[in-house]
Amino acid sequence: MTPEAHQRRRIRRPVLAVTVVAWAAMLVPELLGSPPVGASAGTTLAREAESVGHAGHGGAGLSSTGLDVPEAVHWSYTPPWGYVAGWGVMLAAMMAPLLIPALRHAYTRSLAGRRGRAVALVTVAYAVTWTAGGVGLVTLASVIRTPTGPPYTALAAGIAVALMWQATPSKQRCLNRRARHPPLAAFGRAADVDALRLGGSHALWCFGSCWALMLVPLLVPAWHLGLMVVVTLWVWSEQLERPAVPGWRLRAPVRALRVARARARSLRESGPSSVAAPV
Amino acid sequence: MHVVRRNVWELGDDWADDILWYARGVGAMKGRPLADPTSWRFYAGMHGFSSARWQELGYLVPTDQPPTSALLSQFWRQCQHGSWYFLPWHRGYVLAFESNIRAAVTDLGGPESWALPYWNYFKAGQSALPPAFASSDWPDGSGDNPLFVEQRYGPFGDGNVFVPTSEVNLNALAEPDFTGVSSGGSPGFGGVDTGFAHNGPVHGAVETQPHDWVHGLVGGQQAQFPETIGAMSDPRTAGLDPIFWLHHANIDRLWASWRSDPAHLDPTQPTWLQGPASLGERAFSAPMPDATTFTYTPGEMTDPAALGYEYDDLTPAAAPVPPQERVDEGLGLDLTAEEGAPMPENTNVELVGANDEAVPVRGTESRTRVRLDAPTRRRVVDSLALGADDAEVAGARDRVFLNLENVRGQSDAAAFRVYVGVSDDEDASERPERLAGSIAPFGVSQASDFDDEHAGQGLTFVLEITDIVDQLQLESGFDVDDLPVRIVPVRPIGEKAELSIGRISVFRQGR
Repeated sequence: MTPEAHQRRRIRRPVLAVTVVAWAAMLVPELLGSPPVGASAGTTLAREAESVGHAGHGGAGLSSTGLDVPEAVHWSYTPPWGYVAGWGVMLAAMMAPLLIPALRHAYTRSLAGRRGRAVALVTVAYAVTWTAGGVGLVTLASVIRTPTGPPYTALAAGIAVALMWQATPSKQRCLNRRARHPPLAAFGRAADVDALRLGGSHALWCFGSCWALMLVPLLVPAWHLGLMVVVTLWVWSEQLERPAVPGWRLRAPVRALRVARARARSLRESGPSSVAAPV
Repeated sequence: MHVVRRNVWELGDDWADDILWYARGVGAMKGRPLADPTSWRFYAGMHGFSSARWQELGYLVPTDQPPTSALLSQFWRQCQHGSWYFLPWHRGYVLAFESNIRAAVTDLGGPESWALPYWNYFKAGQSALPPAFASSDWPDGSGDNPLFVEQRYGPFGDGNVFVPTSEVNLNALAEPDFTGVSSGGSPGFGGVDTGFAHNGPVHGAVETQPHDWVHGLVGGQQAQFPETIGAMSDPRTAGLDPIFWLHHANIDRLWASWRSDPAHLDPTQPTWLQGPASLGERAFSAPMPDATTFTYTPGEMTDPAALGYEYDDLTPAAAPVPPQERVDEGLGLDLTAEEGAPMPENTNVELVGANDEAVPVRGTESRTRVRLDAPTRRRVVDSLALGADDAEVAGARDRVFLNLENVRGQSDAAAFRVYVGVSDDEDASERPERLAGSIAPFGVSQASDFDDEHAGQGLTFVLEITDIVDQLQLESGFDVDDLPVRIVPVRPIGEKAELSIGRISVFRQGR
């Protein structure tokens, strides 16, 4: 293992461990048929959107724009602590691996005595920004449900939005900017502010990349978790893609497939490859 | 077939046969249309391409038929920089280019044993551009010498092209390991394992110096209006200049020279041996004169003899001196480690300090101060104060690196020197022992583009300053709260270059 790979692993391992635990926390209760409190966050969120959407459809306290979320209806299904815990678990499961490059940047470019603090601040800013985005997503899901009526119509609308966003130059811009690692102050309050800024901006570009895909599981009437798994694998695969010039095009993260194919071929073939000199 | 690559300055004549045939071969490739995969411009596009820059330099006109999209996606913009693939990719690229020139040479009745010469600018009296490249005429006085490039401006932008030997060094050859880290310590001789990323921000030791420096100063930037940036200075145009290939033959020779030390080993990790194709990227490939494709991996590029060539001389010309020996010699001390003593693995990299804000690099000089963290600085001081005559302890001494992080700008030719520990009232040019290194930010404009592979974060350069810190420590100059750093451009840098350094930091690498 190269020294660089060793350093990458130092950050990657604990993050992936958290991710695995989070997925277990979501999947196990679902499989056991436990109530969707806290751990079953994906289902919880989808139901939040559903409940808000149905309430709106019935005109229960929503404004004509459908953008106002009635507190009573929204929290009637899950208590606030359950929502927060559930959201945290889902965020860890889906988005923690996308934070690894930013965490490594903060860790390696901070003073040894401040590394833990920098990593914590990046994580907090990332989670808070994503949470704000999550509220927006749930609201948007409810808006889509409201006027469209039948749930599969809402789902079709969500898929259309996701496909459209997937093809836009803006999506590529978000993917590109997510890979950027700005300089960080080393000392004092400036270092804390820069760590927060790094986590927040990273989450912002992540949200810009993923929001439309994440909207889809919020609109399905069933199989929320299954769809979340698919979306998660998709956004993780997008992390492997190289930055590209923004433009309108169909964008699929095929590099992950190429990696898998190359690894499989490598396993099949044994022995050193021959040299074909062009001289 | 086995060929020998020879020193361009030692072929016997300014227009020795090997140079003359190179010129004829270049002429033949230049005569082919852009869409031909064996044409001059197609090969340059394999390294990099920018429609605007090519048009600016007169290498692309509206009537040009572009290569097919299949050819473009297979071959163009392959160059590997800021990566541990830098050396093997360029070795295969130069090898395939040499085959194409040789085919053109033999078609014209030249020798089948023709080999690409190299330019060893380190050797005494050989730092100037070889004369055949500097003249617009053939040896018989007729014009249109294909080795001549108008947009080659040299270090001072006046067309006098040479490599300032006082500022190039071969210290990279003293790097013990091929690959290093991107976290502030040594990036290694050949560059950092970039994993799934491509074109990392940190250049390896031999890539930074002499590779980048020679690119930046040979190409240069025109001193007068319109201040055109030379072809060699920019990765997107560098392959258009015939001297590019002799420069890269020399870089390739330095890799072979580094490998001639039995302690110096190439990576053995599968991801290096099998190349980016093992990570879902394009395989390295180059079009050959017989219309076949040469597809290669780094693992196949490790042995020049197996590839059918060798160099007439692997002596680096200027002996690389490990940093500790440099300072000890300067101070008249004998602090070298005992021969054969086991060296500990020094892979712990820690930030020692950093400056507070971005440094704009413009005009004739920029200054900043790197604030040092007291406990970490103390560790460095303690480490360097260890009794180095004890071999085991000597191996445990820290190495110290200055990092120029997030270097961004619009001019790849904006070269500058970096001094450490020169006080405010001193003239930096009178303190050459405080020169941490010279930087030519090859590729910086591309790396500053938000939609490029670097996502606009720019490049990061790592300069070893162990010797300077050791001197400062002996003069009690490192045990301070901050360290002065001075940036001195080779030529005054204008606002248009928009050159800036995001952060300047100091890292220790040790136990």
